[in-house]
Amino acid sequence: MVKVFIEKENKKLNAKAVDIESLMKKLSINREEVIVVKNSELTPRNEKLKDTDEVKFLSVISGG
Amino acid sequence: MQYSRIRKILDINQLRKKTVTIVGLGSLGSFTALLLAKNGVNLNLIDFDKVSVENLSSQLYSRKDLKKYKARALSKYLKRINPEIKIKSINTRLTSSNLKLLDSDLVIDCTDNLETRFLIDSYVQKPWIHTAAVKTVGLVYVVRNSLSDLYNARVSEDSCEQHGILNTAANMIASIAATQAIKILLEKDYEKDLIRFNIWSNSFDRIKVKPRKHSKQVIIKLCKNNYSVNINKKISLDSLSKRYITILRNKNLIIIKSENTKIIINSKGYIIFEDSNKEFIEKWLKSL
Repeated sequence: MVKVFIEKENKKLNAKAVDIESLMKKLSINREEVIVVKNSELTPRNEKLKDTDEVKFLSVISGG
Repeated sequence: MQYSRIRKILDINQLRKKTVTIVGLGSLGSFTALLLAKNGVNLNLIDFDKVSVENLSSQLYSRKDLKKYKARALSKYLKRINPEIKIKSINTRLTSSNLKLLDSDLVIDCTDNLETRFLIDSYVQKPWIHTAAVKTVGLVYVVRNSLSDLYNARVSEDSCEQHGILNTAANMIASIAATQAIKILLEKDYEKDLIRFNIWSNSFDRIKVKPRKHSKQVIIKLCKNNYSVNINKKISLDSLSKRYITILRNKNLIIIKSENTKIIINSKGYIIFEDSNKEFIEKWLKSL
């Protein structure tokens, strides 16, 4: 299971998915609102996932 | 005397020779400017906006600054804090027509929109500091390659609307940004990862960002009818200047007009389309 953190909902969960894209679909995450971080590295959405991975969906912020 | 206690930590003589341009003088910009001014750094302060009452809780301004230009009000305040430094206050919006305003030792982006950030990215040819914040979260990232390494997919901007920033978060992010700035100015090793901090939950992320080779071109919608695209290959600016009306040209950048669209092109392959639409952009890119 992949460890997931969704910042917007302040939610931690475990999920099964083959890649980031399908994980986002499964969790109904709006792709335009997040940056995806896998194991502390900014990650493209077609990236494959392993069971030991930790994925964070962090909100895009742009205020100043 | 003013610097006697920090001289053991910083090479103040070196810092006093440097000038930093801060674009955007809201929460992040005003506090970052304060920290740099106290350390003897000269400043170019850019903001088109005037101080309004809702700015007072999270920005450095006071009631007597209301309705005054932020750049002017901040400059006046910082001159009282440190009369030794040179401050240029620039009461205008940074646009594709005045990018020369960015010429300095270092640029710090404290704006609230991707459009201006991508403009900075297209013009500045050395590392610059990107900051952003909303509510209790903020980030600092030194852009060494391209901002599109970070915003490489279509993103929806929170800042097209107005969102507040907790002043403690703004202070925290300004402190990180100013420290990074000092390290860059003194040619010290600085943090290369993206730093992201939530002051409410005290959660801290250090995120690695690698230069991207995109498999496909992604057209990123910015605010209004502006778009950005990274085509990931070098562009010959000479051939473009022959084909189109040229508004501005320098070594690494050209601004041209095609139909009603203003196009800002960086020789590295980074393009901004102002006042445009996706159909036009796709057609134009094919003709490139």
